Amino acid sequence: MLITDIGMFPARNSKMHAASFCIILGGASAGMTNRLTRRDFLKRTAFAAASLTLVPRRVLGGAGFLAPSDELTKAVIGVGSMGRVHLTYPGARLLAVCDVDANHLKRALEIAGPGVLGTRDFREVLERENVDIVHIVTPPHWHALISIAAAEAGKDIWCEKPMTRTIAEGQKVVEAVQRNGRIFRVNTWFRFRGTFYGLGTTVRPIKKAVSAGLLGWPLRVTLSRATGFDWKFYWVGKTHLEPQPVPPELDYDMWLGPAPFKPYNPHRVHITFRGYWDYDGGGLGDMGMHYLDPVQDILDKDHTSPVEVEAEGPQQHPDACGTWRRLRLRYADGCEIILDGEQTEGRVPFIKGPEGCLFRNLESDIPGFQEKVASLPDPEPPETDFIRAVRLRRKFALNEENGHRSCTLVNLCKIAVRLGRPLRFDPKAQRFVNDEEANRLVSQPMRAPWHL
Amino acid sequence: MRHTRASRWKAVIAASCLGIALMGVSVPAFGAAQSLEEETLRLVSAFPAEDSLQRDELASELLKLGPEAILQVCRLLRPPGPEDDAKARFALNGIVTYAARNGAETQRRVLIKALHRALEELEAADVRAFLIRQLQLVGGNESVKPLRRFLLDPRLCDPAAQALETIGTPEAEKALRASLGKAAGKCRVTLVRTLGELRSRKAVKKILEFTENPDPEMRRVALFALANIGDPRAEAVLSRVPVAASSYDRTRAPSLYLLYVERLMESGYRVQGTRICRRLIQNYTAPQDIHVACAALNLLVETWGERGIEDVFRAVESPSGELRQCALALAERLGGPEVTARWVEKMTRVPPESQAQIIAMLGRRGDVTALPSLKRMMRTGEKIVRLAAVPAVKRLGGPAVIPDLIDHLETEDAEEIAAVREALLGFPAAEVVPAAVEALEKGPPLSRAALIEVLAEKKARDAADNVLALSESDEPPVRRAALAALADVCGPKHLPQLIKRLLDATDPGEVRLLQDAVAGAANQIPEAEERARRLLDTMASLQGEKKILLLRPLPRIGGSQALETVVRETQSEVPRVRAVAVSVLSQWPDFEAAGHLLSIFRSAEEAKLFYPAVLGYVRLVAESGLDEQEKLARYRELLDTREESEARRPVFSGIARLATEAAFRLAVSYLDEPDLRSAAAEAAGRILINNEDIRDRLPRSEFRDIVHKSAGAVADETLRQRLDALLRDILLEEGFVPLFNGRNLEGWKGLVADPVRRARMSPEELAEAQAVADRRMRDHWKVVDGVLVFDGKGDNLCTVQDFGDFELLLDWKIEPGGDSGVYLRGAPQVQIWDPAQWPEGSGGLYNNTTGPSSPLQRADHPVGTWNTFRIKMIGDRVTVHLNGILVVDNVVMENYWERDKPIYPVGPIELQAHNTPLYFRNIYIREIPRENEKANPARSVCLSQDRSDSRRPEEGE
Repeated sequence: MLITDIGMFPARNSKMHAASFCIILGGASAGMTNRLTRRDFLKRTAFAAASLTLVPRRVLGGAGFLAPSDELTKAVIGVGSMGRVHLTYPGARLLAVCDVDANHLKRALEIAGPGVLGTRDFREVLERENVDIVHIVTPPHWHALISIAAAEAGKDIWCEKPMTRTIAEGQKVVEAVQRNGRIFRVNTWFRFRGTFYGLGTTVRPIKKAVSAGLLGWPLRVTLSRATGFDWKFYWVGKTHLEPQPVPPELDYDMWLGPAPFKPYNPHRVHITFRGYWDYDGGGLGDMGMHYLDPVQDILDKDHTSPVEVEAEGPQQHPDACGTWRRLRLRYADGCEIILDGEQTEGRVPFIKGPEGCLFRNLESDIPGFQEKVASLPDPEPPETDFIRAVRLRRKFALNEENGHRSCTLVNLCKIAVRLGRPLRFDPKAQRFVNDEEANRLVSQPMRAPWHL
Repeated sequence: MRHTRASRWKAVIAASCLGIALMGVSVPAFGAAQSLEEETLRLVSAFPAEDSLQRDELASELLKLGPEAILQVCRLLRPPGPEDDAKARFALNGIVTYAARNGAETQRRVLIKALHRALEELEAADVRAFLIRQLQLVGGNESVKPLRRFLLDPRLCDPAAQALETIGTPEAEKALRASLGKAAGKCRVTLVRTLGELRSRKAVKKILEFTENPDPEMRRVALFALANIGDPRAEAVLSRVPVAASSYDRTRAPSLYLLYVERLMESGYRVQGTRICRRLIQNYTAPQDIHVACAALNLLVETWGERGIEDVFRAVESPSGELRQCALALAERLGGPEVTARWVEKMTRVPPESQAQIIAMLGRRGDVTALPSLKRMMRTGEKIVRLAAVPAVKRLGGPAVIPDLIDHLETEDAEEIAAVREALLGFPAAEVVPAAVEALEKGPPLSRAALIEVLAEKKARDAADNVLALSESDEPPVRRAALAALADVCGPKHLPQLIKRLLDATDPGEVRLLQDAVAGAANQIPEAEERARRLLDTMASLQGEKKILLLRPLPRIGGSQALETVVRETQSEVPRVRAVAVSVLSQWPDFEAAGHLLSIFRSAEEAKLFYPAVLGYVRLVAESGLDEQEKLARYRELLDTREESEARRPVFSGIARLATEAAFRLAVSYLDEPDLRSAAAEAAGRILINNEDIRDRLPRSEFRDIVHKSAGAVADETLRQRLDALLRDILLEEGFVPLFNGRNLEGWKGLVADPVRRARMSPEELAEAQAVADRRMRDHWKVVDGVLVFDGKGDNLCTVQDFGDFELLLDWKIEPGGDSGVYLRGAPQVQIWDPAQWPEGSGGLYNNTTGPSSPLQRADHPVGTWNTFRIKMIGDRVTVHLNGILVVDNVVMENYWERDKPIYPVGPIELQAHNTPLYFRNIYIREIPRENEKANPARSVCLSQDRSDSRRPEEGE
């Protein structure tokens, strides 16, 4: 058996090793040498350089970055209804699609047109060197696992929200993405673009006002129908599901992946999976990151998390997500976020501070509020073009780090709703204080063979 | 003994109690005399609790009843199936959560004991899995023994191992390890995975045996486990990868190796690990591998902290921008000012691309000692360097560098100007406005325009006079930027001047900007009714069309006097003033204007008056707080008020925004009105797309027909595609299959002669003729934007497959004088033609000679728009609906090719080419099994074999 020393030779491509052995035995071929000279920036051993030239992924531009003329490439993993939307995101050429449902796959391939690889195993996507960006559009219980595997395969990542299903998964994604120097984004955008749901304004002026202390400190932010945010309580699971035969097009075992095995019922999978704790977390899972990420940004909490969380609501089923009435998150400095599932009308401030309130449409009880906001310094503009971020290796505005902290709010809320008791959280250790059961929900073992 | 008792319990529950408890009928409390069973069932039936308080009360009472009661709750669990055991699951999980809280050790023990007993007694695997998952939440070391017996059970080893992993004690690790020798298959994979997660050094020797296992999952898990354990014995298998390994395993190998190295360094082997990391950085330089070098560098710095700085400096020499960026991300937080000095020095000796990266890092690093060098680079570097230096200098220097940044505006380069503008916006108005005002007079025009934009963004009202002066500049960029800024900087005192400028302005672009400025300045007046006063006063003194200039900004200012004036001007003698006044009224921001718009709508004679009126009225109603029913009533009234289609069409944009079935029905009722069809379809389509509940309520066939009809009529391409997709989903659900995939001609072939002549050809002749026909097909039938397009030359397009009985759906479109048809089973035809030339319309069985050949009525949509056929053919009888209207009712289709024979039993569908361009889309077919096929499944297999033969009748004979 031929064995390659990983430390000495990049392990990826067998052709290259075969070539290495060729070189030892017969010397470099003329063609190979020619190609080698074109890449004089590679100051490497003859073996490794030769191996590279056999399978160039792309030619580097003069600055050692991707040349602007080179097209980025992408693959979409999970091509259900949302995945089909990702097929159309511009900026990179689609090379592969992946889904565990043959019908999804067929349909995506029809949309994608000829020359696109279709597979049901995401690992076949990750092993392809010519794929630059991986879109992860599976249900959330797969997000962390595929994100980490993609980072370790050298891919940049565009991941659907919620970023991860547990807090521990999120920590691991941050670690893998940063260690491998990957560019990562979560697919929500309200912190940097567009009207923030029903609030009637973008986030930027709010952020300016809050950072400058116009409303004072600490602040209380309320997310309810009355301030423009609908918690979508129709995303609930069924507490009684009868097993049904798995349809032939679905690889149910792979769909479950790291999740516990439970007998198949169509309500568990496609679209309605949101109603089950094993895969997501109801309306919180669906809308949580959209609504909470900008709030983390407004409160300048990108590097920390709340220290308390508590929920009011009916008891939760161990499998099916139910509804809730109210959630409260509190940070160490006294700032609070209220997720109000009940109040639907009335003039409720979106942000309430000791110096004043901010309502929908950027209205405030502070005189001359909008003028004041205009005079404040603008925040440094973050990178909001993912394709440019990938090309120039810049951190995206909503990345693994702040994305994980935003998703932690969702995951804290889920645990509080399930346990129904006030919880204290240590934002540094990212574990609950004095609550073993809650910590067992922070980190949940995966079903073999999957692991983080 | 136990077994017998368990059986008795089960019998009791099944016979009497389970039903009561689980159906949610509460059992009345019987007081102290009540049995344990009854009390337990009473409590269980109260689940799910309304809140955690009630949950805790119920759980506490159940726990007080002792382990026997908890066991009884467990016995109410059922494997997933027809019996609903949700209450038992709520109850048990409620007890678990209650007993798992901090400081409830006694209660937890009662619960654990009962769960252990239940695990013994209850045998259904799904029930056990549920119990194990509860133990995973609440169990401790005492649960190791009861769990270990499931580690070899393929149905339960996963939950058992996961629970043990969570418990995580040395005993748990030991239990897993002890089972490893006996385990096989899936359970072995599970055990190795879990031992890897628990970093069991004692398992290393055993796990090493699995690294060459034939099962790839086993090998992968074994390698992961060894890497995560980080024992040097695994170095040999982790540092090498067999060339024969799969592509994925080779991709993954370096990460596993690095995980191993990380663990190695954690346990003290730092020198060894460092050597490996440096070797990886040195060797992994290819673009697709650079992340490995990056990870190795990160690991070095994580291990050595500040002492890793030399490796970081070395990595910045890399030709890979990606590795440099990776190193510089680490450099942000390493070392103090002396390291900053080294970076500054380094910066001077690297190529410009690297300089730019280092500068950006120094900006983020925040050490101001770098500022003088960065300022110098901002002046002297190449463009890429200067662009990076601007934000870095801004960050480090604060307001003190505003003059440097403004000096930097001495350039014609738009990118650099944009970078400085962005940097300046990052300062508060108090700092940046005076400096910007001072610099307004000098510099290149684009730079001065950028400064004016900064003043506008900051709403620098103190600078209004300067901006006003510049708005008369001769330099176009300056003049334009200043005019655009007026709305943000001017106040009430500038109104006279602005109004005068507006009345004198001639350039339409400048007029618009000055109107914005007037509105912006007027809106600075605190009292709402005062805002428009000066405009209204001036307007009173104006004659004729001049008034228009001041009318236009009024909707943005508002107020009841302004409204009054506008309403008055809608009666103006000057036609243009009248028209502009109506248009202004139609933009009015509040509902007050609605009544006026409605009366204009009712009484106006010209479309240029009633059209904007209805647009404005519909908008105000849509944005109003009226409830959906009231809104719909108003729209209905509009539709009933005027006959003109221009007057009615805009109403549908309002209807489209409603989310009620009544609104949907109203839109649908106009789908057959030729001039409103498109607008109505758009409304119906949007309501359907946006409201799943309305979709769900509609009967399937009606839903399908409306979607189909709407998709054919909408003008908006995106909406049409979404409706087509919706249609496709419904049709697939109903058993239709697409004949046309929207991308290419897959499933179609060119026409060869006719069935009679084809039957006479030899297989070779036919194959040759088919190849020629297919080439000809590709020349003349094309797919353009998902539509099948025929260029007017060439022959019929035939399905590759033959069909017997079927229902066919298809959309078609022709041009003036167009002529086509749909052949059924290879025979002509369901007619398509231009009704302007053939007034009977399309859809008839044109070639019938004995039976009827004309459609029952003309149901064509205008030429150039989409039409929909639904064609059903059973035996020799054909029914055709054109645009939802029955045009051929169960008529025998005659055999055109062989008049003495009945129509062929099977044959292709063909789209007839008749020398005119044609368009088709949404072609779906549902095959209808024949009676004898249904009656005898065995026969149906035979038939389908016959059918596959008959697909090429030409070859068969």
